[in-house]
Amino acid sequence: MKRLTLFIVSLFLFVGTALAQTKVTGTVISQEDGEPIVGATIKIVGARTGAITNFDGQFTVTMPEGKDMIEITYLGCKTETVKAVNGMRVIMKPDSETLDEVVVVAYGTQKKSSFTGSAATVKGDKLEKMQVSNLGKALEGAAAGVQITSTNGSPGADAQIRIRGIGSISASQQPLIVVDGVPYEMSLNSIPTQDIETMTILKDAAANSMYGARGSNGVIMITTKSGKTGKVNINFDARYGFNTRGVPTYDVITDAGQYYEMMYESYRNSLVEQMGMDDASKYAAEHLIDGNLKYNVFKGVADNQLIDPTTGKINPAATQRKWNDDWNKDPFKHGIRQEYNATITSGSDATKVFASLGYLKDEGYMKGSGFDRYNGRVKIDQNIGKSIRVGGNIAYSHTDYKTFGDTQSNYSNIFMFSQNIAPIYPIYLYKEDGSLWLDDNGNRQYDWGTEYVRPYAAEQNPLAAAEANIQRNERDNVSSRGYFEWTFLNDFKFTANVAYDVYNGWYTELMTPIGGDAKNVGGRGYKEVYRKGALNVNQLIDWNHTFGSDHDVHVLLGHENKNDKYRYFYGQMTQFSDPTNPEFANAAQYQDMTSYSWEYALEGYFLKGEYNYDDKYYLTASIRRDGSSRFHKDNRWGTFWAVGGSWRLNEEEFMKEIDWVSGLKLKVSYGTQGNDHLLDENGLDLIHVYSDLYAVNRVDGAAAFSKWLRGNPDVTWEKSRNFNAGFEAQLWKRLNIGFDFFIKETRDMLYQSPLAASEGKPNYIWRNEMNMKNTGFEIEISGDIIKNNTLTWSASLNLTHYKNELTKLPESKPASEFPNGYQAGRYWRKLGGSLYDWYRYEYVGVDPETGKPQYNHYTYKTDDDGNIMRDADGNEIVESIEKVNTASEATLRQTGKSAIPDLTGGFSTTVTAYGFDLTVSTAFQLGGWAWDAQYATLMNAGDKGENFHKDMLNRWTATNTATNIPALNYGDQNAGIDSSSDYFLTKGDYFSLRNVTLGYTLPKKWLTRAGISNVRVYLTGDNIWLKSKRKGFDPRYSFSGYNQYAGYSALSSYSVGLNVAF
Amino acid sequence: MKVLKYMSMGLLTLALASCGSDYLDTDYTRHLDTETAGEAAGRNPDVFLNGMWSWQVEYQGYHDSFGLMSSLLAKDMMSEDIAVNAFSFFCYDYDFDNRMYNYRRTSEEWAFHYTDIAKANEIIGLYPEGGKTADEKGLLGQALAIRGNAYAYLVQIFQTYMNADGTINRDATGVPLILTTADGYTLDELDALKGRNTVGDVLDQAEKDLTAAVENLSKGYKRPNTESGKAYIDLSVAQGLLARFYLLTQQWDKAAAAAKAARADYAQRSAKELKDGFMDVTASDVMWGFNHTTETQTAYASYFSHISNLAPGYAGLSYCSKLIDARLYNQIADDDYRKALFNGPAGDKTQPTPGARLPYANLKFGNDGSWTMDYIYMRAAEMVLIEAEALARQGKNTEAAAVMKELMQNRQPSWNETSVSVDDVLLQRRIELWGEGFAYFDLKRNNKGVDRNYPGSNHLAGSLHTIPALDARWTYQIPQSEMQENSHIKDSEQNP
Repeated sequence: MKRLTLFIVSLFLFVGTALAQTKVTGTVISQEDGEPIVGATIKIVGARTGAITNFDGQFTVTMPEGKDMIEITYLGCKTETVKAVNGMRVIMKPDSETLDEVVVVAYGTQKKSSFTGSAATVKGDKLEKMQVSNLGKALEGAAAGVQITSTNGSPGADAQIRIRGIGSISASQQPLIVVDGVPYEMSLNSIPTQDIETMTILKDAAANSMYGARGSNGVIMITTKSGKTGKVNINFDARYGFNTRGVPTYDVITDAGQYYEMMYESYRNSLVEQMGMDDASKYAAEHLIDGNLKYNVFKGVADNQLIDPTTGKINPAATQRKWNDDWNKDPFKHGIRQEYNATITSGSDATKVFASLGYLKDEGYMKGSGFDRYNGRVKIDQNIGKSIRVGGNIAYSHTDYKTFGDTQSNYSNIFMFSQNIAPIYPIYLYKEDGSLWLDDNGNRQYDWGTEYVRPYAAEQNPLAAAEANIQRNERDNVSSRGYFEWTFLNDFKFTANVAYDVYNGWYTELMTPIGGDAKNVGGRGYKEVYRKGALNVNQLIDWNHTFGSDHDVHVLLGHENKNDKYRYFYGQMTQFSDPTNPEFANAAQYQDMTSYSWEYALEGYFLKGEYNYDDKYYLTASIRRDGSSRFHKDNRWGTFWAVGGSWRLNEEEFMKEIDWVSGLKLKVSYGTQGNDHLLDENGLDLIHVYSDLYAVNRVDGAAAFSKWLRGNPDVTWEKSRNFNAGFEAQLWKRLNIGFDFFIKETRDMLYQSPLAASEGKPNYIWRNEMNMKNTGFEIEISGDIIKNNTLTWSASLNLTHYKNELTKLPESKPASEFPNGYQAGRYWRKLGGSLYDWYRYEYVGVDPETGKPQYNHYTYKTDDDGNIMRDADGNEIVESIEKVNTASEATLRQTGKSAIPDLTGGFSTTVTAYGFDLTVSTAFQLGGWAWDAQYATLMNAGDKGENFHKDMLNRWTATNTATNIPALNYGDQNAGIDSSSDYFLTKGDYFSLRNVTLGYTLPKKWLTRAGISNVRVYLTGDNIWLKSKRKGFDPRYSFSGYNQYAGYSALSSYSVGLNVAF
Repeated sequence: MKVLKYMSMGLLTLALASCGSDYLDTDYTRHLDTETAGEAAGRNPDVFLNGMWSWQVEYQGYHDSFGLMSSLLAKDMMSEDIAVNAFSFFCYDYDFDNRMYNYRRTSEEWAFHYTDIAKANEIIGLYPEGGKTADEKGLLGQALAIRGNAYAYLVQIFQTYMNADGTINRDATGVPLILTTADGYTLDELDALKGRNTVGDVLDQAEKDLTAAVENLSKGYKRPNTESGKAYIDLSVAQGLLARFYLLTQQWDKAAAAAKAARADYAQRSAKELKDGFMDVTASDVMWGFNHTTETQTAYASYFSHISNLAPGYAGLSYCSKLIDARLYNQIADDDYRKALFNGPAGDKTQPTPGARLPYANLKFGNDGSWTMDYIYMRAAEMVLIEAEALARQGKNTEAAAVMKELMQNRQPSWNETSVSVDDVLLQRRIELWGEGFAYFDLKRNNKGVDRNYPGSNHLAGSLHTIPALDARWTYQIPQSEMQENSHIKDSEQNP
């Protein structure tokens, strides 16, 4: 329709202009769909005449003498100026492609072409597809240089984000989150993905030096959606689905008979030394239940008849079970996930409005866990006259995060418990005959393990606890942003931003009085009330000027200050009368109470200059000076700076010839950023580090002072130096390649520097002392593989590799004294090594004679003074290696294995055809070694009541001596493979199917009459499949490779959705 | 030029916007800084003393780590007096496999005593001229007592300090001495003392501190006359600590005298009180102990959770119930009331908890129904045993018997010995002080090993160790953080 209208209008405009000299006829074609364009305007450059294309896209113009250029314009397409040639075909490119992409940068936006730094952008439409209740988790595999881990898969839980690798040791490594130009102080679970226009990850110095003080770990810039000029647009999105387990359980023993046989063997082996084989066999078979496992799951078989001591096999009569409770299935259920979002955008030239409302109810896979959110946002931009613009953006969300005792390596964490409890123990309480033991009201009761003295996790029943316990964190989050922008004297702009973010939290925990840990104190309840308010104010002056026609200069001068205030109250009570009421009004016994507050302030001044010549050569330079309240007066202020340059080669004449290169930019930058975000060992903010601090403990009503921190007035900014060099290229107008090489060196890393323990606690002091370097590269490739009228198929891939290297050791262990490094707990640290180089015992398999595990014990050559001698490489000179059977006799050795992966990345692809769209996103990692602690617990030598991994079926026995898995023997603590041995280091390779979305957009012609502009229905699945080295093992738990106990499994979410736009 | 003008205008605007000079001085109310803490201490000097008492019971992040009593329990496990039913908390200690430089127990043990020393030094440093009033002397005396006692513990745990002939090896390497300038040393001298010193040096320092403590506390200091007041060290406790020290260093006459003086004001526990559970500091024979309240108790991570089979903790749940060694049980006279504090070989099905039903389970430590059961650090009964042993060591066996009678009359009325040997006293020591943290130290000072592998042993199958005296396994290695961070200790100075 549009094309036709324009055609008719144009006909009138150009009537009677044909005073011709040379006639030129041509056709105008749309690049987008290859169809002729009807109604495009043809103007002869330098003349007042022109033409308009007809239904076939054809035009005819008569060129006046001396004129040979024509300009073709058409709404929505880029204007083309070309030489007029008879029979010509003009291809019109769509506007969107030619509009230079805009990158959100510190304190403003910048054309992508002029950007000298390194940034990755994740668009809102991609984020919307992800069904994550915490935005952080949407970043897995989404952009080069970004790594995500999470120990907790429960809905709403936070993720750990690292940009360009680990960047600190003791200070926070989380990137700075900036929402609409101002640092954001709340959890990322308070922003719905539907509110987001783009997420930009700033990675190098040129990009984030302007956040000087706090940019060291990278910056994530979140831009929320804005109103748009044009008609009112209403968008409604609904999705409904379910959550299920994203990572399967380990391969554990599920057959009760098999378990009894193994535990019998373990029991017998523990007795052989005392009793001899025959007696031990008889004794173990006789007492397997009463002396060891306590529970006999089989009907009709006496406790002492379960095992035949002559064969070690289960009694063939043991076929019928008294109960069929399955810890790995029964406690879990599919949680329902529903999410509804409505957005309205509207706007005139003067006013733009965006508003959104949303509701999310995300039930976990485990009872008692879930995340609810209500959210609303209103954003207004208003022009006042020609030179003033003001705007405001206020968002409110209420979040309600429910979880349970899900800390890793904790018995009450059901994800570990269910895999580690032997398959002979029931969930519910049964009588000896196998019938349910009902309570007085006829309800079934949980087996807390107390009645029959379950040897595994007595007094625990995590399912019962999940049902009766309460762990709930409710928050009200308000985030407000306002700005005033005044453009004056053509080139100047003054902007003032004010932002106030505040959250109020109310945390409730009740450990039930019904059973478990808190039973004997009548239930234990905790309350935390907290409030954090963050005020951020900045003033910016921009000056933009073009000298001549091709010297563009931009200068930005700014000041910013920030003030965070935190208040906290905590109480603990016991003796709860109503077991379902967690409030203190229901509790009788006081236990503990405390409250405190703190304040953090930051002030900064900054200046940035940008220069560009002819849109070919770009230079930027910036400097920022920041002061932080965390440090002593004399060491508060730090200066951070950056320079960068880029060169758009494709704008050069000599490149114009090379058709297939449609874009090529080289860029380089260097600069510094800081980090003042000190954390204590519990991950809480350290507010003042410059003075000794004393905690006031209580001893029966009297104050008891205890030194809590050794102050160090010398502590100051941690600084990182970043070098970045790379290119961005576009080939054949459809393939985009980005490559960056980076060196990020963090200097004077804030380090919780240990002191000799003989100095007493706290036996560490904060110091700026280590240096570390990440050297690596990132590649992003995206492109259209097929693009025609009916089908587009695009794909993108990102890859990151980096090497982590210590470049300076702590002052107390200088390389001059420790040329070969030193042991730091489970890691070995040396110059040139990584932060996480494993230091473990060498496991060398089983002694085939005895079935005992063996480790290497090294004897090193020593000189006359008893000092170990070393070779030219600094390695100990080995005199002899002996095999020993216990880890405490073995020697810890450098394994040469680091927890840091070799390669991380993501691949995603989208196909659109006939109204259907299909997107598949994946994430993967290669290399890196993690300590599979969960596996280690399942490879035990027969701990009472604890389950085994199926790998234990290949254990050493008198008839199976060619194995590397030792014999069962629960009486010998050294019988199993020591968990600190290298045996449990597992390759961190994984492949994850992050998201698959299939959508169908209804043909427009069906909808226009109903006043609907768009309807799309879709099916989407998240976190669908994980392939790792071992079933059940999730390498995404941590960056350090440690703490790989099974926690709350990552969730898979599947939904059906409907999106309607009016 | 216009540009410059406007830029300078801009700068001016920003200058106006900038914050005051104190903008970056922020409030922090969670802890006290040095100045505030010092002022508060000026008003009430007990705050730092209380800091020591609270440290001694503080939970350290692991369920087998809760201050002094976890240290003592871990040591008791390295004996043959305690057996267990299952391998759980404290069982690596039980297996004599918790002593390597990179183990948690080693570093916790070291840090525990050295933190006591650091806290004591904070107080001692306040009085370079010595205390002036009775209260100041009281404060100083308590700090000195804690420091001296800590050095005595350290040398016993971190060194094989005995010779095979039963004398003390004063030349063996000891532990670092952390002192203050108030002790009369220059900074250089203080630094030089941070090496391993010798056993003799460390023992001398402990003796100096403990005798100075007695001296200071004899000038009229009275500890608060409340239940919680028993956490404080008064003259009697300081004399008790000194008596322990003299016993360790084989100064028998002094040991007997100090022990006698220490217990002068205390009555021995009556037969009835024997059954009260050794969990209440108000009991007549308790000289020193900690009165727990809801704020200081550490629930599962507590002494009672681990030692008392009747309490609702780990021992009661039979995770790792504490049983008496069968051979020791058999040595308790049948008419000794204390025999009833343990189950016999058949166990006792009538007991309320799984732990207390086990054969040989101890019933000594009871359950008052809460988690706030007190910790007892010193009882008058121990002073009797020290005095009797010291007398017997000097050949005064008759006098020793007379002293023993004071204890035994409430334990075994039929006991009527007129002469007791050192071994007699040591046996009574094992029975009377079972589970209270003495067994390991007694074995070590008496050059005795353990033998759990005897016919009828009720020790855990995998832990039937026979370990001779002076074996390396009796002594902890110096923890890694000390080896790494203390430049005065060379790698070659590590314990075997």
